[in-house]
Amino acid sequence: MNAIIKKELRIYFNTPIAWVFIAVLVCVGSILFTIFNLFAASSAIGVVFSLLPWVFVVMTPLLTMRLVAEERSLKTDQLLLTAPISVSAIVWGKLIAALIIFGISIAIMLMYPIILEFYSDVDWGTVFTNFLGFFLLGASLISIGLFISSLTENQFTAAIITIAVLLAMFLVSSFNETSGFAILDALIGMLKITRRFDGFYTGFINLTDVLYYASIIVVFALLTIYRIEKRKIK
Amino acid sequence: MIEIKNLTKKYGSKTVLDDISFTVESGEILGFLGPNGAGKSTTMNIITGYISSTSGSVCIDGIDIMDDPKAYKKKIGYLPELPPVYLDMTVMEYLEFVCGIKDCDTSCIDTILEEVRITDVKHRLIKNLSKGYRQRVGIAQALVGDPELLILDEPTVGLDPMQIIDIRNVISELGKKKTLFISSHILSEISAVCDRVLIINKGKIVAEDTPDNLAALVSGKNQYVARIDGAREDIEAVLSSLSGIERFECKGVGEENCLDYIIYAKNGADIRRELFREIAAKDMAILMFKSYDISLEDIFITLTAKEGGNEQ
Repeated sequence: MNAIIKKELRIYFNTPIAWVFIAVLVCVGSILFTIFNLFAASSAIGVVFSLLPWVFVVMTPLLTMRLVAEERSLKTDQLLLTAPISVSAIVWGKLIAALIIFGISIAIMLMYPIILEFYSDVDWGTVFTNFLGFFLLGASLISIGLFISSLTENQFTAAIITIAVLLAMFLVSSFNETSGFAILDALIGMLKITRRFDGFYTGFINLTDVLYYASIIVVFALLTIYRIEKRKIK
Repeated sequence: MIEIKNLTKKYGSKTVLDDISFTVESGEILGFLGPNGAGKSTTMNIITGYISSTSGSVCIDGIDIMDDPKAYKKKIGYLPELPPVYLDMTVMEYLEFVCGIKDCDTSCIDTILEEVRITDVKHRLIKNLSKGYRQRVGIAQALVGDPELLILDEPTVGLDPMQIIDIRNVISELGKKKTLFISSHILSEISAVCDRVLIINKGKIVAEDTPDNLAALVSGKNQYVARIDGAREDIEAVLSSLSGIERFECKGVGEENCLDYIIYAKNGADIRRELFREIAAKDMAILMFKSYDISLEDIFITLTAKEGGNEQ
């Protein structure tokens, strides 16, 4: 698995992908930070992280679209699948590499609370929950993107489907579960991926929210593994 | 070394491989010949574990891929039809990665680079390499981990003549140390390096023999192609008069005032000198004369005619 992680990171950094991803995320984050914290003279870091997820709609596919689709279209999957390494090691390796790139951008954003610390008292507990929630939300979206990349051979198709799915999930998050139909309400409740972030935003770590995100990450990684194994049989 | 039993692969209702069985002996170079779409790549993809078969079994040194995939895959080095290289990596980075997934030490890389002669490009991005070099990087990749068996799928396809000679040299060097299973759709390609040839057509093995025997199957007919400058009746009068000629066919006008013929000589008869003198004596000229190349199609026609009997 280490070899896969290392290779994915190499490709991310040998191409502009990693640089663009980190630059855009940090850039948008910094603009939000300047407007809502510096100009507004507020130390509530959560505002940045409540708006920043919208950037994911466009940025997640940048990180995930090629992960499986490109291996297939360039036939490099013939190397991976005939090597003495398991499909799950391949998929987890890819997911972890994408999360490392995402983690780097988050690490850079740690400068926001550090800057705030100079001017005011920062509630480091809330900062931690915000960063944790943001990471879990992003990781879930990356896992979904990874799975979508395994559905097609064309990375641009993967990118467009990912954008569409994420946009839909973000919009559903603003619905209320008041349709009156229990099943529909339950479904909406399940799909409200950004709503789960609200607890982290206000400084609470809710175990169900953590489990929600963790299970999305794991389920979509497993679906990706299943999808690749299945294609061998076809 | 490889033992394949009753291998069948179906895509939906389409049968790509139909109950094929064969073995590859340790140390031999086995050629796998067939037209495009005959099932060569499918067979190789199944042996290497890239796809699974619908039914049948594949064993390498007695290990079934289902029982111990890791030990099984360690025994094989595979070069697919397209070299599976990452364009955005350098040759060195790529081979280090391959060492990583094959779980072996990177110290073998230098020897391999020498062996396939790519030491001079090891720090270049693969996307900047020519097709011939990419192919060699593909072979280098297959050599990582020192597998006993190399499976090469059309290793010379799409290369220019110089590169083909290069790759062929690399392959014959490798053949001295390893068991090789090479596919191709060109007979001369295979006969140059292989000890034994399997011929596959429409998912079935139609023949299995040494390259010499297969060629003899067809070339026993002693066919020649000739382009003769002269009138049709004069030429045919000469051809009919020669005792060494069994029969001939006129293939039409190949060049202005000339006719092309396929001439079938009787077994063992060398008609070339006699034909030359007779044609010259009638004040006509031979503009071209060569033995008729044995093509894969000829072998197929001969083989299917023999096997299929009245089918066609």
